[in-house]
Amino acid sequence: MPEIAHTMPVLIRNDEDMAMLRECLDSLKGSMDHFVFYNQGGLSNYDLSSLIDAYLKDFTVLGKGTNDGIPFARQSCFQYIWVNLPAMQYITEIHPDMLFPKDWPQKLVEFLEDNKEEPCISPGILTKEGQWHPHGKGIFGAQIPSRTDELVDLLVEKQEEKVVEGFVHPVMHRASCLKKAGGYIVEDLPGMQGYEDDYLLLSYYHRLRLPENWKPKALLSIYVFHRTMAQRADFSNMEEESNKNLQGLLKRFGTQGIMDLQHIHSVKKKENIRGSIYFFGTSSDKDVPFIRGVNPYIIHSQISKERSLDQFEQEKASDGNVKNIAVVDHPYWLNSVSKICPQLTIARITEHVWNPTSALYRKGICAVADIILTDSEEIHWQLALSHPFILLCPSLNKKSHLLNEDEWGIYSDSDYYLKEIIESSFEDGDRTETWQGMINKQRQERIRGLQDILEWEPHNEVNLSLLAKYYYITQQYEEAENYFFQAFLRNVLVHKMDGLNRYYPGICLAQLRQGKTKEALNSYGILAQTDDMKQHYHQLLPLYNKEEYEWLQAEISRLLGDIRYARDLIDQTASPEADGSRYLFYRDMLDYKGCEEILRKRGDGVASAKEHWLLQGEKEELFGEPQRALHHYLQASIYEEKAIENILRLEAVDRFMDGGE
Amino acid sequence: MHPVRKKEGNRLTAIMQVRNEENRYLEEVLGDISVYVDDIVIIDDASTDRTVEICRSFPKVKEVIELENSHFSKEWELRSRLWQEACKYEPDWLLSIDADEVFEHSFKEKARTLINQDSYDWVSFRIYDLWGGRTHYREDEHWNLHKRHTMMLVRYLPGFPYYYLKMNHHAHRLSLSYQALRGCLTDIRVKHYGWSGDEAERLEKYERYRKMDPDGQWGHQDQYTSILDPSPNLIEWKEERE
Repeated sequence: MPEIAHTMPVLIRNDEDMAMLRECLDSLKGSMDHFVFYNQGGLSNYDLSSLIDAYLKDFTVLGKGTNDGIPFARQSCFQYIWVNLPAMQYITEIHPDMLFPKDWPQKLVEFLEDNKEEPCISPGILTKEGQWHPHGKGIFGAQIPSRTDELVDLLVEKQEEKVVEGFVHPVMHRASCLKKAGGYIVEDLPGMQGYEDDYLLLSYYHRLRLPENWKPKALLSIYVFHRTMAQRADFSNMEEESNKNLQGLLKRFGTQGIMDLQHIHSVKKKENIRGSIYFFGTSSDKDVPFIRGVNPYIIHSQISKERSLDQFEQEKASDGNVKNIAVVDHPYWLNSVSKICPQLTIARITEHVWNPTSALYRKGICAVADIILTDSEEIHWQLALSHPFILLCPSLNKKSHLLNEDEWGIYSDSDYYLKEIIESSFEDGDRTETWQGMINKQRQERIRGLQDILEWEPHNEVNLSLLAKYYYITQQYEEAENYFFQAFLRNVLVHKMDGLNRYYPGICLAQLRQGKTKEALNSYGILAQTDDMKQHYHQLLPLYNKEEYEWLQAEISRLLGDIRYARDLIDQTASPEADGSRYLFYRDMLDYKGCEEILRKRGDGVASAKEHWLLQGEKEELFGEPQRALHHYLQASIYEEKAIENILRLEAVDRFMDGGE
Repeated sequence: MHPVRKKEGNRLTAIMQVRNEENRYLEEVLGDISVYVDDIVIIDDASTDRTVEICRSFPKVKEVIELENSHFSKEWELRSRLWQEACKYEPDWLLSIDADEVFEHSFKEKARTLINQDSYDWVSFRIYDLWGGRTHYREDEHWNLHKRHTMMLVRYLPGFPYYYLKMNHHAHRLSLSYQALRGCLTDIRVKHYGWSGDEAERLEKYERYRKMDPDGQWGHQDQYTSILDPSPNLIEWKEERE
């Protein structure tokens, strides 16, 4: 039998840990291999050695009884072996909460002897939940016997001559490969725990120059029982510790490493591929969250777009059931998004893209998005008035932490929401119910938070106005009006000059929503200080006097941004005289069909002709063939020179696609 | 329904708070403003003399609200109440004027121009403290109100919130919320006769200030002290050219 060294960090926190360790050692009893333990705490080195001595002959205890973290402990064991036991051909990573069947390393050694290109091999494991990993993850397939001997019998009974893709602990490393890969380089992995497995797999993948399609494997002709990842529960700041290691991993392998990990962890079986997710962004240097059974594609330039669209065509041809999901980080991708016919479109609107030049595209992407995520509360407020599903994710611009399926629970809010949204789209039933639940929960929590803050700081203008906005979007309009007024007065008291424009639109909308039409119209009149608004206000006064209240309310709602309410109201307005307003609504909402119908009713004329060409141009630009848009805009420019600006926009979008902006 | 801002046909309502004004400037002031305002709303802060009777003798006085108990020690409440009382008539413009203030002549000509527009919602003026008579005004580090603009004329905007700081003395004459609106700064002058009396009258006012604000909470102690300055810097008041 070749020389094998087993490594095991040991942390004893309570009697249960102690009992597990005894059982573990008992299952290893009689082994002739060498064991290197690292004392992480709970026992003195003397006590630990005395305990082990009853079961094993050849062992070493390292450490001083302090919890130095998993990467440090393992690496200390490896280094000890490399220096003091250089003849060791195989090194394992085992845990004190495992139970091993007799002669368990033998088949793993045989596998590595027969497959010289493999750097490591895991056995299959049975978890205390009764799941067989890595192949049966999530499937509860076994009742765990209470007696150890029966449990070991079960492990033996389930053995099958099969190798599957996947990675679990315990794992046996080829000592030479482990040394070449460097093990867990502690400078890169300063955290107590997290991502060390991914780090090691990436080290193998890159440093050993493994084949592009290499994946770690598990041998199911041997099973080990693994109770739980006991030590993980020992950190209250697990996320923080984990993130330290993630940063080290990123530093060492870059974002390419994350892509590689997705490949390494991806499931080979075709039937498990549930969808393709297309990230339309601005850079290839983009973290992509892992979602089980979903293939990611990053589109950041014309070239990557064409490559991904080819991929899309192939997948469409081979499997019509695969869902396409578009995650759009920049509105200029709108036209490309339509080409993959996504069943789910998620727009991520950050402050970065919230500028006037992208306004039309932004409107377009919001119109086609099923749900929107944003990092800004101001954008959240504005979009909540025009879109039914919008979630606030302050971390939207930050690095993605969602690396593999073992790491659920360590991710940012935006990754969490992304995962939930995507998962809900694979489930039967109304996905919008799930979304609405998330949205309601988020908003209610924010309201409670703001109420608490305002109890301590009752005059904070920003929080008063935020609370007003949250009340508004949760349909508590009376409260909303009250808090908008409070924010306005606070603004006045600190001698700011922008209170009217900041808060009066909200006051006016909240009054409208309460049916206080006269008050709302007065508020709108007070707000109307520019010539355009004054003119509009004077057009609204006769509507009030003619009791055309829905039309009047629709107009104010549209102008002040509550597009959803405006749309409801204008649809209730029967008067043909409202067609002018209706046209502006449809135009605002990119409802080109509705616009065309009204234009047809208007008949010929210079204004109609110009509008016709502009509409056609926009439609092609946003959703069709941009080259045709150019032609339409040129036609429109015959009637109005300003239409040329649309061509300039087309050029700007082209530059963006070429990576110029 | 009328627009909140009209370019024509605006009515001008003067609002004034009074207290024991019988032998002071009330009649002169009411006579003067009656020339250019459309109506007047007055709040009487529990006067014990003929003040209310004098007010009611002027036909343009629409209402005199008589308070039984004085609000002298809570001026912001008095200002706020006067605002509410005037607003119940849904006026177009409100001119906040005290019982010892008189606009110079040009205002009478320009008043309609100032209110019949829809570009701004308040107008401010320069108030001069005439000192020891009507021929000179005082100007020094403590007496320089005329170097700033004081908002006295505002458009009534239905539903627009009004807000006064809770100042017991020297409260703002009009709601602070108007600062959020567009306004017009003019150099039209207002003569303040409050200090134009003799030395004995100034001493009496000085003692009243000391009593009502002993710690200088609502005003400046130095300014109070300067009331008794025997030789203040006085500048001759020149009437405008007609």
